[in-house]
Amino acid sequence: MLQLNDVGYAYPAQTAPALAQVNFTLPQGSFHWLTGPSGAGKTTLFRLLTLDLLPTRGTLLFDNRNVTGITRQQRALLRRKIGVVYQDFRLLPHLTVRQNVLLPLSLAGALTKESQQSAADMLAWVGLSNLAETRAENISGGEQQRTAIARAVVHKPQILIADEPTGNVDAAMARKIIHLFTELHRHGTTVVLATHDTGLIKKHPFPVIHLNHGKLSPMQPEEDTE
Amino acid sequence: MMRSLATPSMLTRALNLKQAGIFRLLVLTTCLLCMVIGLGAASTGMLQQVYADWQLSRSHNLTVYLPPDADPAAVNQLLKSLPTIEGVAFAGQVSNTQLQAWLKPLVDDAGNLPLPTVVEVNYRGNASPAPIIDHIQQAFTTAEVDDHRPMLQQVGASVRRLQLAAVGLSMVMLALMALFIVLAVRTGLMTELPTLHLLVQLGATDAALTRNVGLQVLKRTLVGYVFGTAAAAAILAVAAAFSPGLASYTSIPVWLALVVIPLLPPVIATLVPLLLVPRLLRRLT
Repeated sequence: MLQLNDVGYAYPAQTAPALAQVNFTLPQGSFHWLTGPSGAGKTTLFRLLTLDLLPTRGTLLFDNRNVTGITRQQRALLRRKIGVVYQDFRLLPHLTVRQNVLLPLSLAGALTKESQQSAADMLAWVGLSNLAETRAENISGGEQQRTAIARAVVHKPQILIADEPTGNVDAAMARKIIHLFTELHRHGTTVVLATHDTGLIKKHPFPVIHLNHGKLSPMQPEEDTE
Repeated sequence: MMRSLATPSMLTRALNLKQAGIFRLLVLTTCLLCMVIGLGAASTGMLQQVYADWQLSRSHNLTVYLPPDADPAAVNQLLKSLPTIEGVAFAGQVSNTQLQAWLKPLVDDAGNLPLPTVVEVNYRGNASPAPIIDHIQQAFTTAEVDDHRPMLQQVGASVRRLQLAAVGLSMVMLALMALFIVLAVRTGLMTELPTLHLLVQLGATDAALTRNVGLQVLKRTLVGYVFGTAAAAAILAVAAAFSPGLASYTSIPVWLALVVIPLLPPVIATLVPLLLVPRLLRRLT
């Protein structure tokens, strides 16, 4: 599904690379945690996985296709196979919850009855049907997080990548959100979830991609990345 | 039941370039520009008609100046013989009263001047003036015959210069319009940069974003065009109502020029985003 071979990334203004010699494979339907201390390169890897950045060295294969030399048009089409949940949600505040969820579908083509139904189903799944016509700026942080999750999965992406999805919500909401991700995983979606929360990783023992100083490193048993 | 939501309006709602003040000004700017261009085009059209009418009347006309002491009987004889020449449509003497009226603004004491005898000869479009001039000069060897050619050339050149100036001014205004659209689109996209990044991350292609920005620009410039052209038409209609002389020159081609030429700003508004937005997207996202 997604394969990184000796991937490195160096920002133009910096001398040292933010990532170096990263090798791993995300098989279809897998669930991985992405973790590491601050400044380890998680954000850079997150941006590479979401195709926001392209590697400056090595190869990144998406469905066995090297994305390094693809055109902007091809990259846009590949991004439609990826669902992204940002730590800061990135909802459009002037749109309603339903319109935010419909965005990926409207970008992929005309809005049909089916796509309207998919959005309604997603909102029901995350428990926000009653807020569908409320503007995103008028809902709580937890509700915004669930809207962002609904938006990330409404177009049935092959891979879902989330950055600290439980970082800004209380414990009860965090449990609810993790439940949503594990449910998606059970249905065959590849999930990569970036987190600092070692408790969460211990509670759900999926494989861990652990970064330190821009390189993959084994996670220490008692490491607390916060 | 869910409201239907068409894709373009959805993307327009998301990427709302109106957030930038300069983008909102597009309607007003286009309105003013279309009004000025519309009135300019109509004026140029009317000038062309005035010139064409005048040219037509002058280009088939000879003005014959005979000395003040010319024999009236010989003059009468000339006036009678001229219509017999092939192509002559009219020959008539300009009255002294008319001559004095012409001279009055130029000369203080026009009434006491020895006035020449002036004969106006009109000939048909396909006739040659040479036999007519020969005939006049046989009757009066001292006759001066003016075929208005130098004046026609001088006025023609002036009219062309005026029309060129109008076209040049329109080009400058259209270039300023293009610059304004560049600024408006650039500022609009910069204002909406976070949204732009999100849309790109959600899979928006450059083509879709370019099309959407182009449609937003076109929509605003078309609104400006409608109001600007309507204002120009109203001004011309009012001016024609109060000036019968002007009314006779507000023909269908003039109205067409007033309506069609101001379509140039919306055309530019369609082309500029097509060239600009892909470059901006490559730089910003």
